[in-house]
Amino acid sequence: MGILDFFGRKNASQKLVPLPKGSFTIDRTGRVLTTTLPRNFPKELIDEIGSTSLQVFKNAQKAQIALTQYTFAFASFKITAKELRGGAIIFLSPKS
Amino acid sequence: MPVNHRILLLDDDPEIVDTYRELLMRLPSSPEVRTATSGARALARLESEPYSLLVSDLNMPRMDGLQVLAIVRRRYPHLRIAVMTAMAEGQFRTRAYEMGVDLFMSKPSTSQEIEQFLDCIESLLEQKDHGGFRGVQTKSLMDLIQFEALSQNSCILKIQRGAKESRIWMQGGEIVDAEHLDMVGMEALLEIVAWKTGSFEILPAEAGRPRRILASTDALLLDLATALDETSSGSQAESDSGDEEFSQSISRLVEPNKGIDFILTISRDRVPATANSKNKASKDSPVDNVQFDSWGLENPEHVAEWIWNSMFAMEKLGSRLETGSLNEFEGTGPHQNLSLFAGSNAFLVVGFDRTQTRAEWSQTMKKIVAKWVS
Repeated sequence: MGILDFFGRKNASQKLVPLPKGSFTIDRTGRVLTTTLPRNFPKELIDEIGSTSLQVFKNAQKAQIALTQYTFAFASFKITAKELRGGAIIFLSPKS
Repeated sequence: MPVNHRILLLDDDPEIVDTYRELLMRLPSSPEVRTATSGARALARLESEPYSLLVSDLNMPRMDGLQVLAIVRRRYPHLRIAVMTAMAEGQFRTRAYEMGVDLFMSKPSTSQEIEQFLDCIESLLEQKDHGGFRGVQTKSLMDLIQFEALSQNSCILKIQRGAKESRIWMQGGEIVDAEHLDMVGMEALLEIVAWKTGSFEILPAEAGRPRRILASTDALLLDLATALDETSSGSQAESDSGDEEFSQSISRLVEPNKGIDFILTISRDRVPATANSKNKASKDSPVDNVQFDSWGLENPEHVAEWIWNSMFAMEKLGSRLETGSLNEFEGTGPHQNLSLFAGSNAFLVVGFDRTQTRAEWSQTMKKIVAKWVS
């Protein structure tokens, strides 16, 4: 199928990390327990999102703000985290 | 009577251009398809004959697609633009949409995607103008101002509706003044942006126009959008010009009887720990302190520190992921809900008690933000 290879040609030469859609859970130490994110999404980015998200909950607690859920809305992406027994479930959704 | 559409296809790869050309020529509307393999060539073609649609790649040598789009959108506001690219990253999508493209899609790689792509193109060709400002189809005057601001243009927007003529002066993307009948400045601007239809013309910039509107364009656009919402629902928004988000009395932001627990403004800039600041969070910040102003909080320094650190950690993450700017934060808890608006110089955080529904506190937040940025 020449035409299909043809269209995909430029993709192969670029190292793109598309914004992921899915969710993952982390425990209280930031360890990833389960994930529905695409396999090709880098693990170090998942870890970084997880630890940053968890830190938001922990620091909120220190500031005496009781928080069970939050959303950070970027121009083209949304991170929603829900507190889960000291850990969190984190939802990632690109905006289009 | 059927209209003969003309499409300009821009991609630096001649083989791709030829393939898409054949596909597009098979559309039900049987458009004429012209091609260009460079931005400069595309601009020359656009000058030579009228087009209904530009289909452009983003990743091109010399003049890239975004540069071409910026020029095309400015010169040919009537033209519909579809971006078709292998660079499906969010930041490009956002930037392209901010430039006013009508369609952004990844290059199709399966027969089904090719079919979808062709459907979308056919649909774009069939779209008719739905009012708005002649010159930028289906775009409001706010969109037009935003586009000029994003392009950091210096120009005069001459806007006409019937016998009425108004002008908005822009300098380097900032709105500096407006004039409508005997009104000037912010008062005139508010009047002009309330127009739903009309036509416009972009005139060369005028040197030495005194600046009557001092707020940044980003803040102004948000302020105007909110003011327009409030005007349309029958209430009158307060709207006066100001130039600093941070250094203002916080108590004026309080909306009575709206379940507000606290309001906190936090400067994006930290100050050295040795500086004498009215308010600074001293704990856990040995080098720089967070500057803030608060109403209704018992421990504002801790909350300010938490917000500042969280926002900057998330902005750093966003930068790695190329997600575009971090605009908002919302948090919910058993006792209160939080809403944060990220301004260019500072953050505004409002805590609402749990008696307020989400729709209620969201509405109140909009009003507070409008006051804050004005």
